[in-house]
Amino acid sequence: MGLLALGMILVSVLSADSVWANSSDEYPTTSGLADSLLNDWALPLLILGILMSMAMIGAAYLVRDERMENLLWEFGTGETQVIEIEEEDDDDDDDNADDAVEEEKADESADEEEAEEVEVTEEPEQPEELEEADDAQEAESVERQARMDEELEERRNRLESLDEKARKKEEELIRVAEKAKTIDFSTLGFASASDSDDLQRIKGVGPFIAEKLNALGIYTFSQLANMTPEIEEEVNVAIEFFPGRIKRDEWANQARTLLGGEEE
Amino acid sequence: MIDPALVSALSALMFVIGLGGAFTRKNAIIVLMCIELMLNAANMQFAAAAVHHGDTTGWVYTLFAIAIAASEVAIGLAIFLAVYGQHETISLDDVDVLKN
Repeated sequence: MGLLALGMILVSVLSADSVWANSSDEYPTTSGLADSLLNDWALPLLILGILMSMAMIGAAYLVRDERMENLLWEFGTGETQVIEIEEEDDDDDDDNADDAVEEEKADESADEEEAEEVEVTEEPEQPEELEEADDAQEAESVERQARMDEELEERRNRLESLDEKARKKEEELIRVAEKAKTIDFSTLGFASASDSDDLQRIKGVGPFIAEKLNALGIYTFSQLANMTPEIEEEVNVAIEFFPGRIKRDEWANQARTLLGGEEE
Repeated sequence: MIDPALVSALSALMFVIGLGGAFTRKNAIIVLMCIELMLNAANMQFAAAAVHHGDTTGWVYTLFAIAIAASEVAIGLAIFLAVYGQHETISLDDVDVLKN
C-alpha cells in the first residue's frame, strides 16, 4: 500500500507541468555530450575513473581464493609441491600422479608415526589396575579403526559412480577422513552417525563443513566440547578450514553452550 | 518525442518495484538487482530530461550514475562471494551480524 502511494506521488510530482515547461526544440548531440564530458566535467570524470579502478582492485582482493594451499603459496612455506598436486590440472596430471602417490605415502607414514607417539605417551598414564579395561579399550579402538578404514574404502568405491563435481567433493572428504588418524579421539570420545547432533547449529559450520567433520568421525556436540586447543588446531588442519577459525569461532564453547541448552 | 508523463510513469513504476524488492527480498543478489532497478529508473528520468531540455548535463549525470553503479555492483558481488565463503549462504536473514 505504502509503495503504491509512493508510486502515485512520484508520478504526479514528476509529470507536473512546471518540470517539463521549458521544452527545447534543440536535440542534444553526441558531440555536445563529448564536449561537456571532457571540458565541463573533466575533473569529475577523472575522479570517477580512479574510483572505479579502486573498486575493481578492491573487488579482486575480496574474492581472492583463501583456500589453504593458496595461503601457503602466498606465504612461501616451501610447500609448493603440494599445491601443484592439489590443483589437479588436467594438462600435467600424468607428471603429478607419481608425486601425488609419493606425497600420500609420506603423509600416511607420518600419520602412523604420530599415532604411535600418541600411544606411547598414553601408556604410562594408565595405572596398572586399569590394564584390563585398557585392553578392552584397545580392542575397541582397533575395531573402530577397522570400521573407519572400511568407510574410507566404501567412499573410494563410490567415487567412480559420481559426476565430476560430486567427485571433487568426495575426494576432499576422503582426504579429510584419512587425516582422522592424526586426531586424538581418546580425549574427544567416540561417536557414530547414529547419535549425531545437528552440527550446523554451531556458528561457522555449514553443510559441507559438517560433512567434513562427520567424515573425520566427529558427530556430536560433546566431542566438539571436549576439544583441547591442540586438538582444535589439528581438526582445523584436517578439515582444511581457514587457519585458526575453529579457535576464533570458539566451536568448543559453542558446543558446550548447545549441550547445556539441550539438557535443560 | 514521447510524452514526458509516460516516461515519468515508467520510471516511477521501476523505482517502486525496485524499492519493494530491496525491502522484501532475502536473497542478497536480488536485493542488489532491485537497487540497480531504482538507479536505472533515476537514469531514465535524467536522460528524458536531457532530451527534453536540449541539454547534455542529464546524460553526463546518467553516465556517472551508471559508472558508480557498476563499481558498487562489483564490490557488492565480491562481498557476497566472501560472505558465501564463510557462511555458505547469502540469505540476508542468516547474515545479519557484522562480527565474523
